Amino acid sequence: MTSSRSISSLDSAVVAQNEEFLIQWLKDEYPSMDLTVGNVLREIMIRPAAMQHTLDQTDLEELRRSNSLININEDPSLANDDAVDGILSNFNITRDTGSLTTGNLTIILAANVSTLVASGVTFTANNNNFLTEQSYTGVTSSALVVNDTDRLITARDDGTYGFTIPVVADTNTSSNVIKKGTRFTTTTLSTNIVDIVAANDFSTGTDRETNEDLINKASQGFTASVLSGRVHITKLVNDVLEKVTPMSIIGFGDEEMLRDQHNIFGISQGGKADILLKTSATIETKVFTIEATLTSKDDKLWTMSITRDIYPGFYYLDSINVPSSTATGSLEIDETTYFISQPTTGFAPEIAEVYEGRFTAYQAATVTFIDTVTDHTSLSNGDTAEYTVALAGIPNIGTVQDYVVGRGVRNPVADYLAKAAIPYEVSVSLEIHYKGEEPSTATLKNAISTRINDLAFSTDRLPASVIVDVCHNYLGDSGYVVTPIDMRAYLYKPDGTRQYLRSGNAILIETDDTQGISPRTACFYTNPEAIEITLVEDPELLI
Amino acid sequence: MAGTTDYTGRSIDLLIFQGVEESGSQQVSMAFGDTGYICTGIQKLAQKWTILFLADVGSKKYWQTEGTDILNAIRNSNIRTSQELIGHFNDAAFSVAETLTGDPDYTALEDDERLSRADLVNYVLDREGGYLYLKVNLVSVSGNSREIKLPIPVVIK
Repeated sequence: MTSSRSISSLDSAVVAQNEEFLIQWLKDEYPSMDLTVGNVLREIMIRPAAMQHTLDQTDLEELRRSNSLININEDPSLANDDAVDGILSNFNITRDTGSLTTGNLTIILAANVSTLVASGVTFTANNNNFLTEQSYTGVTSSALVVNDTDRLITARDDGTYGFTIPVVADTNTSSNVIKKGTRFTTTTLSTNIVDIVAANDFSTGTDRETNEDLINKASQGFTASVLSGRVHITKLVNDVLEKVTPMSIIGFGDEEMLRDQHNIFGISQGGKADILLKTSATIETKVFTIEATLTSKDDKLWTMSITRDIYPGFYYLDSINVPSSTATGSLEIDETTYFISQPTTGFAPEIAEVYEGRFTAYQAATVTFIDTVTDHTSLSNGDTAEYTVALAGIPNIGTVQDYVVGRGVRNPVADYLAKAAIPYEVSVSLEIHYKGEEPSTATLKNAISTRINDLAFSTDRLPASVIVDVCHNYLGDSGYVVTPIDMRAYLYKPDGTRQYLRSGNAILIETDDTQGISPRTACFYTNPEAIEITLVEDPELLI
Repeated sequence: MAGTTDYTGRSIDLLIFQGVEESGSQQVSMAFGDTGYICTGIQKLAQKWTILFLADVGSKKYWQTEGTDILNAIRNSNIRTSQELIGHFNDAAFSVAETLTGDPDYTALEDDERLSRADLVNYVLDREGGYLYLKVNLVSVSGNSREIKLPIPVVIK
């Protein structure tokens, strides 16, 4: 093993100890050597040896800390990454090296002219940098689109033009959350470009797993990936998703388990389990093109079906717009009716009530909305048109569901239903008084967002102190947070209703047995765009 | 000059000042020597004193307090008068003495290997050659002494 340390990075006290050790050792062997300070023998022999000995001992100590699970467990942060990887590979556990946040940008142009975006151009938002991995050309007609890097420029309803390009983050971190509409800046593009915005919610990347994460994984590594006990199910789902995913498993005897009580006595009879998942740190809004049917020309009323496979387990309908719309809002949604849609062949979990199947892969919806943008003059009832639909949810609910209903995987005496965690979508407003250098609101927003999103299952509240703590860690003695903090949340309930919560102290997850809402089934979500920070400079501040 | 000619059983160090004679003035050079010589007694003291005196304080990564500031002062032209030179020398000599006596094994050394005092006897500034010669007399606890001349390169402005 080659040392990853430099000779200049050693602990002075340890070098001194080893120097003394070598002196004593040599004096025992060779009493005639004068090894007092300043002597040549000490300078050219003892001291280089002491440094090398310290280097070796430090490496050996790190190896000792890394050579068994017991030692790694004592302090995972001190263990050597390569050694930990090697040990855990014996148990079929590998380190997730993280992934990059990806998404699409809409390049908005003043005029419909061919526009080049070179490879490696940096776009910045919320202190996060994103790059193009290859060069893209916005072209003015579909005839000019000859490969994937040619992007058709389309007219926007505000008189501008736009085309879309993919970008990736320059570092892998779970903190670079980008929501649809986030404005980006760059320095090296054509003057024809008037704006750059996120075309959709970005798919947030993941952090490289630490040794501590791996040790947590290890407890699962020895566990069979089967639909059995909770640790086994957790292991199986993590294997399917290839990452450690916050989850909560509700089953027989749990107050939140409603699906196993459909009998004349209304008592739990077991045989069912709900797997609540938080597969993404943030709610991800995805945009789909869905066909709608005109159902009432006089009322400009349209109806569309959001089938179960479009965005399995989505939380809510965010917006509906005509495809060319640049509006940030939505057409008026008249009604959204959720229902359960299950396949006619093969096994499907038993879902008796719609609220039991909300946020699952078996959820579908019918939406009626009023289109005040389209000219209805030449249309008749029954005509169809495509609309751009933004759905908010978290990914991979369908992936997990498909896996756990597999005949070879599923426990023959039970059914398993994968669900997205019941969402509390949080927004926060706070005021910071500071002195000296102005704090970076982007950094603070990212930090607060990450901290809130890290609160997974079995957390019954979002206390204001968590947010204050994040700010204090950043500000130190150069500022303070004005309390109370304004914290708001929307709870999207399984029955399709939405509850607004507001507090300066704590947002609570209150148990509702009728819909299975509890800290074991619900999670907080937020994103940097939902954190509002007002900075007030106070040079006289004394802390 | 008190001293001894019997060095049997003495602790030794590697000699790096080649050309040293028992008495008289002799030009020496810094080297390990063809065959490797050892030294003891006052010569060992003179050698270690010189090493510590000419080491810049802070230049040793893990032994930051060892050495003196005198070379730094000379290089930076901070010494402009005789009094300043004497002051810097005394300060440096004090640092060396502190380092020597700070070693827990120092008191176990023979009397002629322990420093009593270091005196700046004289100095000569060779403007053309670009050297400041320091003539230093080291006196051991036993009373014997060794005079050394240290040629320190300087830039004359």
